[in-house]
Amino acid sequence: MQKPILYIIIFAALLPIVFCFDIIFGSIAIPFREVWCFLFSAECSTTYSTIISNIRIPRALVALLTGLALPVSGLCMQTFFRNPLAGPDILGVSTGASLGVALFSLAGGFGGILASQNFSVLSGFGAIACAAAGAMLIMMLVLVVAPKMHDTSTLLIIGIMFSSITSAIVSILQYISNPQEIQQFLLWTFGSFSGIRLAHIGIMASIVIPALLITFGMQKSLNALLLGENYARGLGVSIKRLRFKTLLMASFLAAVITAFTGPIGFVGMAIPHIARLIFKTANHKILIPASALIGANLVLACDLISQMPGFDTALPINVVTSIVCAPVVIFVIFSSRKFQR
Amino acid sequence: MNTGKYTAILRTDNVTIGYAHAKQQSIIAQNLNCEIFEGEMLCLLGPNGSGKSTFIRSISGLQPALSGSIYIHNQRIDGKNANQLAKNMSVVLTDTVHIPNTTVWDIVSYGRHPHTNWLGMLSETDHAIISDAIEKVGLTDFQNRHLNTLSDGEKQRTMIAKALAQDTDFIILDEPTAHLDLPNRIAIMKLLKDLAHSTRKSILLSTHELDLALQVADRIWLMQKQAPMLCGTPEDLVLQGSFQKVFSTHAFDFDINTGFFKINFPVQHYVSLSGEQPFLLWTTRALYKYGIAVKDKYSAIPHIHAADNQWHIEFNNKHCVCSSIFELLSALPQM
Repeated sequence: MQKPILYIIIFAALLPIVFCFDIIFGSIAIPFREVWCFLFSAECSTTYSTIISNIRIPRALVALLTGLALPVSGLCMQTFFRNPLAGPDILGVSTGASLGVALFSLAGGFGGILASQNFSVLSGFGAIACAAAGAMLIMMLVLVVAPKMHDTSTLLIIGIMFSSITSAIVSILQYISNPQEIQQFLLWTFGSFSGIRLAHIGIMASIVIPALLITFGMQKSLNALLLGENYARGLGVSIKRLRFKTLLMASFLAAVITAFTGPIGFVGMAIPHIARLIFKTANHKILIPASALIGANLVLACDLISQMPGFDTALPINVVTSIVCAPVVIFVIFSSRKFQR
Repeated sequence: MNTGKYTAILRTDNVTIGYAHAKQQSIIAQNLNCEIFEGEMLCLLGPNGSGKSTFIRSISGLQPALSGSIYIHNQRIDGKNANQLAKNMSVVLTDTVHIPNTTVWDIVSYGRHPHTNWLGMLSETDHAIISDAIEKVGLTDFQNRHLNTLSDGEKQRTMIAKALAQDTDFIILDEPTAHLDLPNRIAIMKLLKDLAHSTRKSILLSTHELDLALQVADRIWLMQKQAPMLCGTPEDLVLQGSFQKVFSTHAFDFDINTGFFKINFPVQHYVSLSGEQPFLLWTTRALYKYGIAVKDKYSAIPHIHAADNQWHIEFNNKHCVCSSIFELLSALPQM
């Protein structure tokens, strides 16, 4: 009974350490003394504190929020669709975001014109707003369609259709765009935690944190939903409301994160599995905080890997998360098999 | 039954069940009037397509009735929200439950859902109720076993324990014995019957097990296609001829004298038979399968004497001895 709490404490304790590492290491390593000094006293060396406050901290904060939000979104989707392969993007929310960005930046869109004059617009607020608009559009469509569907597997198919239509439109836009525009867009699809200003992070956090708390408030109903919709109803869960809330929260978390960072692969789908395997439970009261904490640690670690000291260029975060998470899942599966015997 | 003596837990009043589409309704059954009393085990029987499952879904509030009202404790179920209804009735469905990392105890604890706060914290009382429910279905030794290691019968017991833990006066089960082997089917039916009598809960279940229902049900609701539903004790329904009417087809008959269903094989040949039990009975049954009926002895038909695992056939002055029914059946056509 006490074991899950102990694990949660361990992961929570690990988080500030990984967070600090993420601030310390980068294309140049910052001495720990400087980070300490930046955090707890006013007088520090200015070059370091500029890097810390303008680059490293925003970056780590975005990684932290992404790691908290996406796994929780993925967990909700997996429970909702009763499908272990479901993730935050199962209903096409982040392809919706990419459509927004594509319309903005490709095929002579406003952002594209700026981009062709070598403005790096796709890290600005314009791209964020467009991605958010695209993601919200798909989310609204899903929420309008969802109550009409009697079972979740039909909804899943509809979601996949939405997502293929959107990616087809994105492909068309790419096909008719000039190389410069395409390059800008491709960079966006690699995902990035950098270039987001602290003010924007404030917006991001003020959306993500309440959404996470609301999702945690749904844990009891989500547990009942594990038995299937009919049993959940028999246990007194208002299915219509739960369906709407789950879809809304899960897509919303995915939409907000994708709008700010671009697509981040695999985290949302894989981390709930890691949490289940480590915590050996299906109870959302444990899985929601567990997924969030493991996610935050892992995404910060991925960010650390993506900008390993000694390398001039940082690897795209979208690639690193996939490369890191997949072996972790495989490892956890194998080791937990061994424990079971 | 004397309604003054028993309290009706659930009552349906002129209920029509079916599916409402955008423009038209497809009615599956109508004029359903019945009630279930306290501490009663009631079986809902009927041929496939008579609307058993739809009726179960309507009563459990999963699907609205097209017209009429369903009352639980004299209150309409459609006037209650999901949580209020969950405190009045618990359901065991045919939906498969597959949750990794979940033990029997965890599943049964879900039954406390309508009674706990938003965090789902279980009190001492909740723990006691859960353990008690697990004990009642005989799974105490299995309570820490994972769901996916259980047999179908044990899974069904787990779901029944979940319903017990929900602590309602009324439990409704949709085909609880489907997918189970005969010993488990009997055990589950017996368990439900005992629970109804010992806990004074009302238990309604739909089933295809006619034989079992006749033996264990306190009363039966018998649904028919395009005809009103019949209610009564199994014995009354049999004596009134309802069973024969609803279930007998050209292929089989309900035998009112034995209480068994008998498959009809067209009789093509006759033999006469003498000997000792149990050889007589099983010889008759074997012959019946091949369209051979037993008649009084006369010279135009073969005579079989069955005793001590030996079968003597006499016909047209020929005589033959068989040491098994298999030999008998292959020898007969040659006579």
